[in-house]
This record gives sequence, structure tokens and C-alpha cells, in this order.
Amino acid sequence: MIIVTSFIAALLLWALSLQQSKKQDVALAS
Amino acid sequence: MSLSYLAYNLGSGIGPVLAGYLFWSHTVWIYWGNGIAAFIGILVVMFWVREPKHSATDEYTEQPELEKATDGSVWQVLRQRPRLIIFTLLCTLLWFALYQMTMTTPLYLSHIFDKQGAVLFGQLMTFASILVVLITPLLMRLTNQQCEMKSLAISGLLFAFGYWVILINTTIPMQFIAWIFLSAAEVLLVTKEGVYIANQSPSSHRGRISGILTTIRNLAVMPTYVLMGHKFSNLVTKVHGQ
Repeated sequence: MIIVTSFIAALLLWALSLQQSKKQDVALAS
Repeated sequence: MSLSYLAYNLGSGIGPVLAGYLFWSHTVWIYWGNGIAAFIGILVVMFWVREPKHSATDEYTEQPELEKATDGSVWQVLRQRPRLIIFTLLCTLLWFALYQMTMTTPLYLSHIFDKQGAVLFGQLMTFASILVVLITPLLMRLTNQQCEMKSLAISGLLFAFGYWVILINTTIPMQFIAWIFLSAAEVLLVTKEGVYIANQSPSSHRGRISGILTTIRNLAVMPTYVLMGHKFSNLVTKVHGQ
């Protein structure tokens, strides 16, 4: 349970960081 | 943030050792020491820590857009920046994993190693305190150029790997090896979470936002103590067939 929770948190945080960097790229391009 | 964490861990490492020496012969001095240390801390904050004043001219300064002082209540700021709430909820999952180091681990070690479990847990705690002091500057340097969220994602992976090692191998040396990964994960979580929140909050609301998000996190983690205690109790019952 602890392992799965940590892994899910890691994946979601990574996805959030990718989304944020994409947003920043779009903002810079425009 | 990492410096205060480093100081906190130095204190956590030295404190129990000093208390151990004073416990039998000079017990009173443990409490005197606590009081004097707290008093010195108060004096340092009172005389040397200054809070910068915010004014309307802040918006023309060199501060990044997200950190500029704004008007309005803390709830309005949080409504405008929902990512802070999402980020806190995700970090709550990591804090849940971190708290298991001090909650489930002693139960698990007592279950595996019986009376030796308590001694081993104490050794692991001291090991982690020393390790954290040593690896914090190293990890800060390694993740200096990396965005905080990626560092926290790595922290999650380290937690998962550390607990996986504990689960697959129950020998004593492997417990220490697993705690190297868990300590590294702890360092990343404690230092990077605060940095992200500070970077994403307006300077005028930083303290309030940090306080509210910490409260949300603690409220979310609270039921997990009951849950994990219940799970562990079920597991022990299953193993012993009672």
C-alpha cells in the first residue's frame, strides 16, 4: 500500500511538472 | 529551507545523544537544556530575523510574476492558483509514505526481530539523522537546476524503492540500505515542497498559504494513522492465526 501510494504520487507529480513546463513553453512562444 | 532542515537534523541527531548521557545522572539538565535552547532560538528570531515589508510598489520590482504581492484574502489567492491545492494533495501522499518511517517501521521491526526490533529502530533513526546531515548539501547541489516537482517525483520513487527493499529482504543490513533511499526521499520532500509553495505564492500571502496548506496536509494524513494501525493489526492476526 505504501509502495503503491508513493509510486502513484511520483507519477502524478511528474505528469504535473510536464504539464507545467508545456504551459510555460506556450507562454514563452506567444 | 535546506539550511533550516539541516540545522533541525543536526539538533535531532545531537539532542538524543546528549539526553542519553544526562538521563540517569543529570535528568534535570535535560529540561534545563530544552528550555535554554528554546530561549536562545526565540532571541535569535526576535533580534536577527526581519520580515520584509510589502507595499503597492512591490509590483514594479524585479520579483517573478507569481511572487508579487497581491491584495485579497488567502482564499481568493488559492482560488486563483488551484495548482497549489493539487500539489499539496499529491505531497500528502508522499508525507503519508514518510510518516510510515516512524509509525509502521517500529511495528514491523518488532514483528520481524521481536525485542531486538526496538534497538534496531533506534539505530536506524540515528543513522537517518546523520545521513540526512551528510546528504542534504549533496542532494541540493544535484537537484539545483531541476524543477521542484520533478525532485518530488524522484522522492516518491525513492520512497517506493526503499519500502520495496524493506519488504523483499528482512535482514538487518538491508534495513540500513533501505533507509538510505528513504532518507534521501525525506530530504527531497521536506526541502523542495516548501520551495515550490514559496515560489508559487505571492510574497504578501506566503506565510498564510503555507500554514493553510500544511493544515490541509495534516488533516488528510490524520486518518491514515488509524488505517495503517488497523491494516497492521489485521496482518499480525493473519500471520499468527489468532
